[in-house]
Amino acid sequence: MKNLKAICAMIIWTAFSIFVLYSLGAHIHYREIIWAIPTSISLLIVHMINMIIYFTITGKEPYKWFKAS
Amino acid sequence: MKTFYVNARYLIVPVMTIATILGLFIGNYFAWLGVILFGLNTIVDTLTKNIHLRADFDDNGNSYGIKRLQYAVMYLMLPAFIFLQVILAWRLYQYTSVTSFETLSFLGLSYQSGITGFNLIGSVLSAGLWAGLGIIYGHELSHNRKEGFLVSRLIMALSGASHFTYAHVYNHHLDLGHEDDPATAPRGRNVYSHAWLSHAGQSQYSYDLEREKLKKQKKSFFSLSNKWILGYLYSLPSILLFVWAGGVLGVLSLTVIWAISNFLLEALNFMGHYGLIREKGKPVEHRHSWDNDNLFTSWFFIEIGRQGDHHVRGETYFWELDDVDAPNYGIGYFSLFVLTLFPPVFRRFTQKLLDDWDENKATVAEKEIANQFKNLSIS
Repeated sequence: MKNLKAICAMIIWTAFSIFVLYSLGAHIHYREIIWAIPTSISLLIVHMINMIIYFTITGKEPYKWFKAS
Repeated sequence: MKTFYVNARYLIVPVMTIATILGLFIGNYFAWLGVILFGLNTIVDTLTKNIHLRADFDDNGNSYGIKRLQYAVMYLMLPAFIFLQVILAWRLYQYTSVTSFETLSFLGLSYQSGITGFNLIGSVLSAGLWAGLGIIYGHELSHNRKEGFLVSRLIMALSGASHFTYAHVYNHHLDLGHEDDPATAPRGRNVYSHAWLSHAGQSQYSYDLEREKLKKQKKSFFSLSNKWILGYLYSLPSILLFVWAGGVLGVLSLTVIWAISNFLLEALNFMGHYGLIREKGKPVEHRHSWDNDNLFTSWFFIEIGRQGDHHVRGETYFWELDDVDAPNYGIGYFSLFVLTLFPPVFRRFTQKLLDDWDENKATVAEKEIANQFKNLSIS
């Protein structure tokens, strides 16, 4: 259940981030280095925050071998 | 002659990686060369499944492996994998710039300028597969305490998995065969969910480690002393390259490369320890890993399949690892990888082997844990 919650939160966060980048026109100006650098940094931060979202919501639960007990 | 044979046999991946790079450079259908080589390797691996060799030592017990040569090769794989990404980025640049098709020549080598969508897919798949296979060098160098450790971090960063280097040595090797090790797949798990759980679990290990360390040092989490953050920053040049070269298509391509290469890495972890159990606090022994040591797997994967010996003697050079009578699948990694892609087939294949392990290799405490799986109808 926590896995599902985490994945939903990650999808929402990623969709929001992509929407912001799209609204700013990052997909048009990517060949201009002044756009490419912040776009790349933003994408890396989006990925890292996604990982933190997963860690925070699921904790150690996904790695337990016997969840029923 | 023996020295040449022992050292040259580990050059399959470097040679095939260069061939894949050349395929991407030449273009047209050669862009698919990496995928074709992967398929051919699966066939060769299956054909050689019954050939098992031991490590080679001379009469005085000295290895024929030349440390300087093998390390030079491993270090040179870093620029090779960077070059693989640069060549793919060049192709993405051509595709997104709608470069016209013409045959050109560079240093006497003919190549096709411009690339079709179909061949771009082949290029991305080829790059992803060989970036994934290249991870074996990231693994080997993670056990080096000197500059090799940093090279390992940089190789893994090309696949967005720099956290692996710390998690592999300080988590996987110490907590093997127990639920504290996310890279050990428990019985019943399939390779697809394992790929994500192991990847995320190892990153989480590194994240927690750095958070605790920086807290003790009274430093901010957002610091360049944070090796979890630093590891992801090592991936920034790759992201920048693909964003600049291909925009949205570049990001999608890099995502596919990272997904394939991490899937291959975690599939290796999956195959290396699936279903094997160790009681917490007890020493890691040969029986806690699966060996895959047929001829082609051993040479191609630089003996990474000798997991039994590797986990007991973690800092032993790969060319000195030997058969230690660890549990053995009896087939190579390529063949077994195909089976893992079909979880019911893989489980059926491992059933007898796990039953044998429970019966003949497990301790009483390990058997009790195995029985807990059986009580949940997982075997």
